[in-house]
Amino acid sequence: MKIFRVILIFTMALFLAGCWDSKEVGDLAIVTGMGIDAGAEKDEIKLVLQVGDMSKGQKDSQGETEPIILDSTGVNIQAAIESLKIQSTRSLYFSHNQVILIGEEQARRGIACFLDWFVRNENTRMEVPLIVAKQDAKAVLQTKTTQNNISAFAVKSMLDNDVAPSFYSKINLLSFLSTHINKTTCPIAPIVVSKIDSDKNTILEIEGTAIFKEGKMIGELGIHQTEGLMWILGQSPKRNIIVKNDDGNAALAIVSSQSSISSDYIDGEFINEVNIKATFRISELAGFKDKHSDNIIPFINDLLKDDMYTKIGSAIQSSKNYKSDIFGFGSALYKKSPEKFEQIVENFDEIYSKSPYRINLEVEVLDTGKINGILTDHQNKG
Amino acid sequence: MLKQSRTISKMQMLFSIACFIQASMLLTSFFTPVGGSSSWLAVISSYLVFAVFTIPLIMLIKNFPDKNLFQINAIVFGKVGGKIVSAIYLIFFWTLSSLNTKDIGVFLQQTVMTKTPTYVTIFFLMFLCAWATRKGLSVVTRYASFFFGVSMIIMIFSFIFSYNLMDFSYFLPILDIEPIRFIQTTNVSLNIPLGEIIFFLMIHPEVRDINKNSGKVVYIGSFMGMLNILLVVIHDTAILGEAGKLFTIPTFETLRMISIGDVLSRVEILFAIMLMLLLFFKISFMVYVTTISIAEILEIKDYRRIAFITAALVYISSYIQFNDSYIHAEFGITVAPLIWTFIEFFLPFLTLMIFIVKQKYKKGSEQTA
Amino acid sequence: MIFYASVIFLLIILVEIVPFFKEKNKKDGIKASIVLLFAMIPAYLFFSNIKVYSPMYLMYELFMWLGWHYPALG
Repeated sequence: MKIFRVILIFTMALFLAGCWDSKEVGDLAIVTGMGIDAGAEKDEIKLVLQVGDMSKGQKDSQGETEPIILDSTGVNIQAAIESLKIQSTRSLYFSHNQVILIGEEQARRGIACFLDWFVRNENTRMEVPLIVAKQDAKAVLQTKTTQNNISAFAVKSMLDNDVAPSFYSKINLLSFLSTHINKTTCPIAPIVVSKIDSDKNTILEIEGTAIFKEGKMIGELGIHQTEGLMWILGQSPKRNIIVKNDDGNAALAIVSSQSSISSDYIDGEFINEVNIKATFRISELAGFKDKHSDNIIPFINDLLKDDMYTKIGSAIQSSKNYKSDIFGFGSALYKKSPEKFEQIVENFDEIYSKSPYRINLEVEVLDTGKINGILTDHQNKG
Repeated sequence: MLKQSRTISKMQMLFSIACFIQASMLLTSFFTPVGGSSSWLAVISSYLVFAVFTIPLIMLIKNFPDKNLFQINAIVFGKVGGKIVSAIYLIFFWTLSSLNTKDIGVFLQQTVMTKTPTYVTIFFLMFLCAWATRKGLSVVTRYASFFFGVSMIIMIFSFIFSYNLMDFSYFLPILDIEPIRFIQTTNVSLNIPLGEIIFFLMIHPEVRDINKNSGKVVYIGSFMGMLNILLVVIHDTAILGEAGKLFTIPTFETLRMISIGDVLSRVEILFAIMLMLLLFFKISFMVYVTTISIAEILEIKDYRRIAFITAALVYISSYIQFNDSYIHAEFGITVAPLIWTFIEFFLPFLTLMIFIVKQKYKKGSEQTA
Repeated sequence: MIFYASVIFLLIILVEIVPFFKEKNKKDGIKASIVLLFAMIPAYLFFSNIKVYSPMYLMYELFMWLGWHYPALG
């Protein structure tokens, strides 16, 4: 009996290790970035995959792995993958995908039907960011920046670091899907463009925010309006805001920022309200020769408020022009009062586009940095 | 009549109940699409209903500490009536064993072993369950406390590390759901995790001193299990919001999103491990109960001789029960709550009532005599 | 699959059914065989691609036909 048990244990250890379908890393084509561009036909897409090749022969002069770009067309993503499988000598592995890039033309044609593959597939992950590529996804995936050879990693880093709006790092497949299936809120996605700078280096830049409605991109917010959007949806800490007028300019570091939105439906009017409370520290002051230490802070406060009102107002007005509630005012009303929400849900887009809004700002400059007041003040006093 | 010796302690039974209920974590996807953001309230209300509905079960344990459910049926309903009622319970036990076996097979295929046929994974699971059944209840329930501890740690860990992903405004508006849907969600939550403790009425004669504090054991064990289910429902709703109803295994998706300092990610494997442990425990317990039920109803002296046969029966029926997963899901939310309520709560209540009436009649006739 | 199922059933018969008859416990042996038949018949039918309906599926169809059910989703 004991011998039988020993034999059984050895047999199980030998045959049940689960390696019958194992694949070595070198046999995998690890997909680092996925792009969807518009195909030649209207009902076709072009799938672009950025694949990190694990074989040694693909290293560049700096010893970094060169990514490979694979593309194919199909009526849907799986059809395109099937034709790629015929071309590729390795198995495509999607679990390490860093970004989903949608070319602008395809974004305008519509992407809702392609979300199904990403949500249904066992290997894809919901926290992967979804981004619109200004020219096309292939151009962005082919870009090699000076800091990072693999553009998918470069784009992901841009969204995750302190400089980009913090809410961008939360715009992933899950949040896009949640807003897409929401009755009133419209999804947004950052727009990334590949550019050549003055030193003839290729760089990737976040250019604005795309607005989607019913699965199609219907418009975009520029950088100015995106900053307004940032204030409402989530400002990045340690970011600096630059304000200026004819007399000078100032850079103010955000110490803390809290924003909230609320909605109400009173006497047939759908009112949207934005409340922002932010504190700042002065990073840099230049100019303002006629200002002194005792009046500079209130002056900067006013400049800041004007700047914020302009940007936030511009963002809200743009979304109303597009008849797309990208902030969640409709959802805010639904969470507060479902009965009132039922009254406006049928004609929500029209009502939203004409509804008034209020911006309540509480802004405070707490700190002037290492020096008190302004430098010119001290120069004058000698 | 089966001879059941007292082999496990009350603490083992308590942790077994907790593990048994926790193993239904996978089945929250049955009622969360119905209840939506109010599912967590339905879970709490189902426990309150359970606290009342489980009184007949506890009273049966107290009145019949040495008799299992089938033996109680024989005493209360008579030989023929008892066999009919026991047959209903047997079909229920067998059905639930096979449905849970199918669930673990589907779970393993969808998440961990995508290319391995379920025939193979379920075969080895059934072999282990049958082997554990042959060794007895003490072996089946031996690691209940360990499994419970591991699953609580993993659940708390995932709750803490996914806190930054949670948006508690997804719970608003509270109770924005049609009354029938709330009742439906409560009923499903009552039957699927909680009501299944009817299985323990087949093994309570094997618990030492069960006539003392049996209520405490049932209530504390079920509360512990239910707490985990509530944590899971809150966790999934707070992270996925409206998108939660799309997924077949919402908890798996939420754990996939955890990333601790960009270093520790892909922690969904912990959930897979936890669920495998719990489901293995639950299925082996169910196979054990089904085996002794068959032995009891057919009056087979040694239940161990039919352990592998029962496992084979459960294995085959896991493929036959519902061919279509859509029909299985629809059955779970539309018809099952009604049938399960009848079997899990109404039948024991009827048994207790008939027993009480019989006792009173017996006392009355003894007095007149 | 029929071949593998047959091998498994044969092993079960050897391990579980045969000892009953060896001990001259015919009654329990027959009962155990009946239980095994409940497993074997649906197995062979299923692996031969013949549709087999479980009692619970039939209950489901009955209850849906009678209208005794909660509203379905969607």
